Amino acid sequence: MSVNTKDIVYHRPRLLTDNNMHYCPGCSHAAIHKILADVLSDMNLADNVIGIGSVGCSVFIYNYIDIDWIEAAHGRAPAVATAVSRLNPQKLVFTYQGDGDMASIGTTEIIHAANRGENITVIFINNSVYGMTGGQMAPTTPLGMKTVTCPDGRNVEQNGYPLPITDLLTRLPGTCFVSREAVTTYKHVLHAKKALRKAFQNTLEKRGTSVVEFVATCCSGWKMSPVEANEWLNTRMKQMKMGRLK
Amino acid sequence: MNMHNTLFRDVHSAALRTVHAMLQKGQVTIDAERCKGCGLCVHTCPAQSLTLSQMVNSRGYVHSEQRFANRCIGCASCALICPDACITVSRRGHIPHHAMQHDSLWNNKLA
Amino acid sequence: MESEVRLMKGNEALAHAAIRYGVDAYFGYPITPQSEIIETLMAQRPWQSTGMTVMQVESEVSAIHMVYGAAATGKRAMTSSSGPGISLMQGGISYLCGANLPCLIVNVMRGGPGLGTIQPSQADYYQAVKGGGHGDYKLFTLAPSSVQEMADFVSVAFDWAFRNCNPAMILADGTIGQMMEKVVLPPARPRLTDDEIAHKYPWAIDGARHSRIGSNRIASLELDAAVMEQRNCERQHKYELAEQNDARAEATLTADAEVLIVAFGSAARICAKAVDLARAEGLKLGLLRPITLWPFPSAYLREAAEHARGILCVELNAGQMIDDVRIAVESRILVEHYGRLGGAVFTPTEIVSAAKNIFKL
Repeated sequence: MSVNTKDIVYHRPRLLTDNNMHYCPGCSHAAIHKILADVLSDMNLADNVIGIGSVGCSVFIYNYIDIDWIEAAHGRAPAVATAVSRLNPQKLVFTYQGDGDMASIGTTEIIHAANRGENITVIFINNSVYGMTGGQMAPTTPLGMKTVTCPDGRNVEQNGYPLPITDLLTRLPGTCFVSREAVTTYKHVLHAKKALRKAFQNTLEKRGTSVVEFVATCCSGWKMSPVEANEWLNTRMKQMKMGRLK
Repeated sequence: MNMHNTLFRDVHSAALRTVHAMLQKGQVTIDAERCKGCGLCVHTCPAQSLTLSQMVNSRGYVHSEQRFANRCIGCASCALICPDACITVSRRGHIPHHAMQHDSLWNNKLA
Repeated sequence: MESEVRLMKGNEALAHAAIRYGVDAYFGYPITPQSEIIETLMAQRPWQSTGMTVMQVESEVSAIHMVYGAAATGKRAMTSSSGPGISLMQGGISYLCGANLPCLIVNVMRGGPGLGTIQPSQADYYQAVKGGGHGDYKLFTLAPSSVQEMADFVSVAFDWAFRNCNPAMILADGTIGQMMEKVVLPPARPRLTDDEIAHKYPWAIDGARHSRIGSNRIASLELDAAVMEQRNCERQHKYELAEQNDARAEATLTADAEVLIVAFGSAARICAKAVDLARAEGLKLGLLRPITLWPFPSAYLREAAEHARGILCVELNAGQMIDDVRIAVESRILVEHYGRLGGAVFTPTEIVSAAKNIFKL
């Protein structure tokens, strides 16, 4: 059977550049970039979007998705997005942030941007560790999980509780849509795309802040194979409320 | 003798290819150079059509390949799960329901 | 709006000048002694007239990164604060320089360190001109010494910043910010339209050029050392040209000065009076007032100090600008410092006595 373009049911998203992504094999970041590129091109937004990148493994996102990008300092993406969105109200403005970025160093910015109801979409990648710096504990690291900076597992006495930042954001009147998604199975991928599309639609309609959290894997940080990491996360997801939170 | 064997094998494999091609519903094209061999596609394929190759690409990764092409049902699960977007899926006949939901379907197919 | 003569505070004059210059956005957090800037902007409601965005935000850290975001889209963005807030902004200022973005930062200095005091001081000189944040960068630093200059320097700073794609700073102090004087406000000019920005600033992000000429990015990260060095060299080249061309100073009675006083900002106002008092006594004092602190007006200073046997560097700090003065005259002339600290301010007679004592006049 020869490949006939008319029969193609899936092809590489056109907004992804030809650069090979630097992510480790099986990294959720790459999968999320892919669906982000897909949704942007499906919604025909390439000429109407400004992305705000952040610090972490995804810092080079501007090399992979072919749209206009502004690289923000660590944690400050919601502040940058606030200004970009206020001064360019006709554009779709979104941030792409990890959990070290948004739930730790940038809590002030995200809480206040969401509380003001800025017309932005926040894509929050929560893989429970600091991936880029070598798998240290993040504010979102679950109790008991071992990382290089909590080698005996996170415990309340020393490290406090994991920060449920997404759940906090649902409580703010400025957020219009909060959803928790994953990319560990094809069903999750399809669901996540719908959520992302809904979030972008809200932003274009100026309904307030939309937040899409991706519970993600970090094979290197977790010291698991990609398949093991996905399976482990699938098990953990059974204890989480997935899908639309607000 | 050797020549005869080779000829026989070629004719035989050509025939097999034809039979397989008739059975095969989908086809997967993997960009082996882009693949990092994470194995998520192999794990997710409902038809066990994919395996990890014995070969490595120029970046040193073993890559996935469609060893059992005749099993492919063209569902695109592998392409959806692939983090590095190195899989293209084509299919003849009707399109499975969940692939229909995928917006990268070319418009003429949906129309 | 036509040009207008008003009596107002330095902080208020700066706010009015920003609206009239066509600034697109102000982001700030209140702090004494500069809160009148944001208060005046809010009271004027420029979003109804020019379309300027004015936001009181959650912190100085957020404010400077909002300036970064606005600047990345080619808009004229500014913020203002005082020492403690400017310290919080240093990371953001470094990013602005790293990404070659223009903006205006206003520091109305107060006494420090720490929470310090709300009285005027000039102790943030090093922070402004020696790079308060990480990396090799400079800020075009203007030191106003009157309410009129608070208004005038808004356009000077923005013009330089956009010409050189680098942040500019107005380094005032509590005295200049709080005192009231007559000021001629410039006539208003309209803000640039999005089309004008796209035409004038091809580096600006507009999110609308993907299909036309390809996507754009604003970033300061580069892991290839060779490329990073090249970018740094280009930046330093830009700074060298500014040092050659953009320094400004004001000289008063320097031609025959036996002792030259060097002072900036509010200190220069007091020193001008001291020079008058000294001349009345027959003492040959002159004054050189650096208007730009970076680039430092070294050539002007050497010229002014040609016949002087000594230089008295008068600052409201423990001696910071004196380093640049010594470098400028290559230590061939005796350079001494006189200053008051922590919000205390000297009087003209105090300065004359200091000059007499130090240089045995």
